[in-house]
Amino acid sequence: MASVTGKIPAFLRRREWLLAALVLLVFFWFNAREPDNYTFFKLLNQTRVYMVDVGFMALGMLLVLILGDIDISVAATAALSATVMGVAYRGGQGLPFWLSILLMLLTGAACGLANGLLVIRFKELFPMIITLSTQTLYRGIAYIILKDQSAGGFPAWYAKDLGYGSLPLLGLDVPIMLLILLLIFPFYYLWLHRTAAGRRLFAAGTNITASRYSGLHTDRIKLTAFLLNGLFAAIGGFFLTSRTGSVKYTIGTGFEMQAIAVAVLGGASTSGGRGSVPGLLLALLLLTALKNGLMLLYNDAFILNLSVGLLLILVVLIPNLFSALADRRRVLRQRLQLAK
Amino acid sequence: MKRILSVLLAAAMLLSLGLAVTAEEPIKLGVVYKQTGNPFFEAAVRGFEEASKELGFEFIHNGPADSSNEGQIQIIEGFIQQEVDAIAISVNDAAGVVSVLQTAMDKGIKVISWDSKVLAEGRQLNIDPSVAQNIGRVQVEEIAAQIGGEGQIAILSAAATHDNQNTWIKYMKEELEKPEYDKIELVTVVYGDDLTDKSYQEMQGLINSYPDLKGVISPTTVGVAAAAVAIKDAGMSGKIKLTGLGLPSEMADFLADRTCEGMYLWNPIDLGYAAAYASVAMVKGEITGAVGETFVAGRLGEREIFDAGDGGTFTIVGDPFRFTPENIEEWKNVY
Repeated sequence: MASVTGKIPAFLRRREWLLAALVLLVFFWFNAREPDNYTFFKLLNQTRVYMVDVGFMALGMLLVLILGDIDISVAATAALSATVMGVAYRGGQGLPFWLSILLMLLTGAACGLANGLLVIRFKELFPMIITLSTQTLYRGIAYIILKDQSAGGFPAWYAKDLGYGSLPLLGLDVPIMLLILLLIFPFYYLWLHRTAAGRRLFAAGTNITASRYSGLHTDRIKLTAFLLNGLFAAIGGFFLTSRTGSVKYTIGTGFEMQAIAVAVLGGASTSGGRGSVPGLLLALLLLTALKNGLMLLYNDAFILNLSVGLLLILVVLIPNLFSALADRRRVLRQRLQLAK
Repeated sequence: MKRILSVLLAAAMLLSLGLAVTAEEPIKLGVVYKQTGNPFFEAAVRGFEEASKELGFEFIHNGPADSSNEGQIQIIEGFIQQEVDAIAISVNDAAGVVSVLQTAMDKGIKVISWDSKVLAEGRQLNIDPSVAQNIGRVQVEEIAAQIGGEGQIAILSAAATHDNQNTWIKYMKEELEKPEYDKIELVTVVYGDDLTDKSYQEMQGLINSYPDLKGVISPTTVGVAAAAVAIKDAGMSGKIKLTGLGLPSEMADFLADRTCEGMYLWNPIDLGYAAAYASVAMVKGEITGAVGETFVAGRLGEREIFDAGDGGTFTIVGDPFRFTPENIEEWKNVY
């Protein structure tokens, strides 16, 4: 048995190493082809386009995926939250900006909480179906609020400095929003992988029945995960809006798939119980490096989406295929031994 | 002494080489449009190609697949990364790309908008296809003539964030105020977001909600083509009249079967061509985008820059042209 798994290279079994290797491979490959435009400095600048808003959404999505659930409504949540912020602020004519931000966060949390309540109340329905409906609902509400108009006129520190500003750090110009995202990662890692609360989440995702009988409040855990997911979606929408400077009900369309892709690429499993914060960060880096490179080389939006699909097949399906093969060979061998 | 001289000479040679290289490096334009796969913009790109053969600049062009604002920002950031000399853009959300275009201008990149303009603080010049007031007026005149001067009409627009659409609709409403249009009632303005399926559904909605509807104006190429299909599918050809801004190649069949009896458009090739000439003139420093400046737009001749009334400036390409069942044959293969 040991000899069979031993034949699979070690790095294929540890997702993070595979991702890190791919990040380097992708970077140097594109760097060799586009030495002037695809440099580390310029890539750092592009992180705000490919990494930050999706990154926040993926952090929230990770929690839900660890539980074995899924949330399709995050992009719609982000759109509704940003819409609430834009309408509340009304280009300076409405509420103060800090209050508008607070309302935005509350909206995100409320959307997440509503998802969570529906998921624990209707256990016979798949969370995918529930959040598919709330997705249309949330974006529908955003449409009712804004119609076809857009809301903007945000303060300059938000739409200009936060959206496009950089801080000089160690001789690099680091986008402010990237710094904020990166600052969160160590805390998120400690919380999810090193505290009892994080372990409970993994336990509930691995076997929910066993966890319930062991005395875990699984419903409460689910509610918390969905609520936090909604909150992170709102934060993602907040950073997305800082780049656009205006909100429309269509903002962030399709971002839920990107968030799921990042979390799954980073090691989360849709069947629950698995997920990794470092893996998620590496997956974000990988997609940023890849998408930006493809953008420069091919200049075509369709190829970007195609690449994500190919990458998911490469990183998620192939290792799964390897272990499935290994399993089958093990079973065959044991059968042969029994036959003897 | 000899050594110093030779070093100096070598240095001078290197320097001149460097200068020569920078001087020969061609101007590079980044062209952004509302969406990929839209024949109107494909025709506009042909205008850029034509100008690039005459002026010898390079250009890259791209638009988002889903006509989203985020997609345009992604493309603009990519163009900044590639250090283009100018960005020429037809925007999806007039306010939505201001910040990113300002960062481009901070880096010395010239920014002009064409077809659909960006807010004044996010551009240096706008190229309008025609005087907006005329574009609005001719479509109202057309639909009034088609429906016989009375009845309900509706407008099927692209998106409420498209500045060009809003301006034309504003002028249409002003035109409808005139006494000769007293018997015409504009019942609603709906938005198809320049997506064929959504425009089709909006047109179906109009047919169902307004049984007395006599005419529709759709001032967008995607919208007018989708509206023609919806009217035909509903068996309302001839009962609901249709006009708007349509591409001859897409509308030829509907003009031939008289679902649409007359529509307008300017030449998108000329629009791209003029935008290219304006961009290059701006990169070369011949114009800055200020009121009163002029530049020569190749075969289109001299163009003057006017105050756009929104804090920015603009120039125009030409006049809208009327397409009818009679003349469509000669135009449908052009664009």
